[in-house]
Amino acid sequence: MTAIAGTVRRGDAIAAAAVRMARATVANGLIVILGLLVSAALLALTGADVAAATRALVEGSVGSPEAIRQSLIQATPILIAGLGVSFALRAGLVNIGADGQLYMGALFAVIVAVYGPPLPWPIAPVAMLVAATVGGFLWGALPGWMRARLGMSEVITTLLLNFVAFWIVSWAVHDPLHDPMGGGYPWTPEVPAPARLPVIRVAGFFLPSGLLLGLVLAMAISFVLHRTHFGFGLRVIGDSPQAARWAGIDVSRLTIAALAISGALAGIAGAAELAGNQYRLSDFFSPGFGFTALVVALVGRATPSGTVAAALFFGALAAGGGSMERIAQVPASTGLVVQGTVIAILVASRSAAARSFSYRLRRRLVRPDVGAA
Amino acid sequence: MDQLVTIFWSAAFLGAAIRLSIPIMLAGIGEAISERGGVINIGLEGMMLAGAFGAVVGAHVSGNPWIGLACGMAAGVLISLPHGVISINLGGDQIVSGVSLNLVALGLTTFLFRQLFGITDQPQVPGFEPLDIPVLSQIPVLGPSVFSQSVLAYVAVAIGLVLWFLLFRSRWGLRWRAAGDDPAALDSVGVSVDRTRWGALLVCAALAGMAGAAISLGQLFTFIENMTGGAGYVALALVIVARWNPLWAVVVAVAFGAAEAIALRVQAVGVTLIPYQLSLMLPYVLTLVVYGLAARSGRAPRALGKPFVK
Repeated sequence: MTAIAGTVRRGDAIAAAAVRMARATVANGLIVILGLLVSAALLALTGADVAAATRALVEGSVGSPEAIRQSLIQATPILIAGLGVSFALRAGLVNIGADGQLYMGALFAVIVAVYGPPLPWPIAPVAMLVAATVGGFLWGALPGWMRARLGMSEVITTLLLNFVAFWIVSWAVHDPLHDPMGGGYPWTPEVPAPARLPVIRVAGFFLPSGLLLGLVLAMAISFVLHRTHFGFGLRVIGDSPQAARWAGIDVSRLTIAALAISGALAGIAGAAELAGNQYRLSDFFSPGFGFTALVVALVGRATPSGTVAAALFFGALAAGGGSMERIAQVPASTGLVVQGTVIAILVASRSAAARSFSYRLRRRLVRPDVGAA
Repeated sequence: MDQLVTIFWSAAFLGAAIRLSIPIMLAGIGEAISERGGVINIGLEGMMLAGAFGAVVGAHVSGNPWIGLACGMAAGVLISLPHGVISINLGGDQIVSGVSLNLVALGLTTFLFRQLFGITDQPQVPGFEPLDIPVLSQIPVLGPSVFSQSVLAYVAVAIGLVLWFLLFRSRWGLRWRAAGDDPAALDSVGVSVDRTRWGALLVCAALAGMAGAAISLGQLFTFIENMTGGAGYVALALVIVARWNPLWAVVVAVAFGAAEAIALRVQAVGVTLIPYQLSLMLPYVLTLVVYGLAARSGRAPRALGKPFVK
């Protein structure tokens, strides 16, 4: 692969990319398995029946067509929001506020779907998704503006804005949008049937249409990142803001845009969850989708394809975790421990020390005398 | 107007402002030290949660709040160890490592609490009751507010003073500040940057654990899952507003505590203008506003969040 620049054949480049991707997949797969093992050890320490828990996890995630459907439904919001987090990460921005953006998206969506004029099928879900995009976009642009114009860290502002969004939604579902016929629960009326995202049956499998939307969005993001000036600018900022400034890239504008689009994707995730799974907005709507989205983006190395793979895995883990709680009485909170452990191992494996270790190891394997000298 | 006076000028309001400021004060002081040393802790929230949990378990088993407090601090330190290894020794991404700490802490405390106490059993543990200081607590308004706090309030202010002194007037503090501002210079005079940063991180973790204990043993006398509810994130913003100064952290914490107290008072006096969910939102909005005003004025330690590689 030592071709001179300009003469690299397209086939070679694709082969090299495939090798890179395969290597990354294997490495991240190992890390995820390690995280699962650590969590299993934790379960064993507290005296839980690990074998039964594992069986429930596997059966509840991939054991039956219904389990697979559940896994895909769980994967949908974390995939779309994960794409949003990935997108911001490529510009070097850590968006920890996907949860709040998702809530704002769902809020805008429910207002259009339940309180707007009744619309027929293909128009109603599109109107919902557009509304959610606007809601998430604004809630993401806000921390973008705070960073670009006021110099505030997006890490802290997005974290704090999560709480603001949550309490706005909590108020909305208790008061102005509350469903009086909802059995006393603090939630909105159900999204009407024509606005829902259906589950499509393909060759005996059930595919939530929200998931298909996520796959389309993944391809669109890949295109934007690699085939447009805008995407190129974002990646330059992510690699080196200083270089971006020297190259005449408007860092402020792109920062706001990156976080706004990131928020818009999280907002779409909220609408997809609303129209494809829960149908009602409540203040227990998100069990931490935004944080799982961050895990998914990190495990997926902030690439669209990696995010898809990671979202499918963590969706299965969420579905399996539910059945683990029902059948093996293992609380679903262990899922958080798995996620946290996976990220911790991931960060450690990508640290400076790990890189230099693997470099030395490779040197030593290639030239055994280097170590002795 | 009368309603406003009842809200702000009362012993109950001032007392609540101080009481509510204790957790973010302790966490903010700790984070100021840690960030001066170059280590940022997005996992502050998780350390506090672990502290709240450890304190309840310790107090429940021993029946003594002081042993509970010690357990809380130990829990805060314990859960911060992976973060230290990753961000100091391995030179990994500190923000991502902090996020993982928060997830693990939330999952672990929820899980362990259910394993230990079940779902139905909510243990009431001995905590830190308000303490009337003789004579001073007799002063009108200020007496029952400032001088009738739990012992943790005085401890927190004292820690702020001591750490301010250490940070700016001692050899230790000089090293902490060098580790965060110019680690290469510290290294060149033969002081280990890693060890210095570990020191700052452990101080922070212990204080965050204490902050969690201040919530569980100083306010609610029990543990509830995710009971810190974002206080750690507020403390992160507080440190920036306080310009990485432990003494300013004390002052800013009381201001933030006042914002939270407004929320509670609004509910208590029954102001019908604002729904209570929106009043609960107020502290976060005010934190953002104050942070926004202060963001450009301070200067963060130059090597904050950057791993030091020789």
